[in-house]
Amino acid sequence: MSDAERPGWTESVSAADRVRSVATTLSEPRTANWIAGEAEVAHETASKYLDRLVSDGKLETSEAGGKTVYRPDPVGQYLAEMHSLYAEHTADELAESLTEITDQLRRWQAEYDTETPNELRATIDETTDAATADEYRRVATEWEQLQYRQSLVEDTLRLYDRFADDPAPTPV
Amino acid sequence: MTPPGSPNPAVYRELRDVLRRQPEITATRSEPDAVQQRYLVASVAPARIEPPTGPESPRIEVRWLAARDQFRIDYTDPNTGFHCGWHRDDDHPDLGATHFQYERPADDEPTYEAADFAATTPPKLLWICLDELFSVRLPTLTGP
Repeated sequence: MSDAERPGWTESVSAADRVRSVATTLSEPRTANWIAGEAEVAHETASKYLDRLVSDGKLETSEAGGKTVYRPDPVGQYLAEMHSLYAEHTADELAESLTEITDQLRRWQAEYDTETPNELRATIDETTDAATADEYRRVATEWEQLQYRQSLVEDTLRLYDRFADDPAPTPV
Repeated sequence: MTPPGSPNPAVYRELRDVLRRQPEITATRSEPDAVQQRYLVASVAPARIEPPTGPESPRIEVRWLAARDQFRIDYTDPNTGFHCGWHRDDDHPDLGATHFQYERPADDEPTYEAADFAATTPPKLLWICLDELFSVRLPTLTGP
């Protein structure tokens, strides 16, 4: 396969999907203009799809310097993830994963002799060598990501209790 | 409100979508399972890359720590031992935020290069790296 045969991002992914993938993965609030540039779409196109993502609960807006800025809606993203966990896994699968997650979190607590990711970060001081400091920061971030998955799984398992009489939803 | 920098499940969802759209990639999965989602793994069709390899499928691993703006995209070919990847971490500050590294079977140690991208968001960054991997890096680094 030569260079010319590989389709690029703009050829392979629709404008709507590019705007969604850019806007829902932003790490800081951005204007429609910025998102249009990153997604390689016209400003009007970006605005149209951004409005749709806001009304779908995927993004939230705020005002900064007289301009509207967009960022992923943390609640909307959390609920969407809960819904796909509920739709794609049985309660038993979720419970099994929850056990593995809890075991891993305990392993980190034991290995680093700290209770929380922030405590692990707080152990870094001027006597910590650079490699160890980097490992602690990386583990602390992975630890937080796994705690987030733990909350998601726990909340999703509660849905099974609440809707115990309903058949499992069809995977989406 | 969730504090800035907290995990965003859309990141791995969108990154997996990028992997699925590559013609060279045959399967993608989350590891250690779909519930925990600690990183993504993709299988590459050995005959669809240039130059072809085989019989085993090369593997791509994607790890994204969005809260720290760090990532690792790694390609390994189990048939030859070739490895390359783009890393944004604190390992090589002399090369800037992101570096590309590769190690061929005959190399004594990996080679590192600075990497710079015309992209900020994770899915677009991954797309650019995969495009460069399949159209430039593999033909150049693993070719005759």
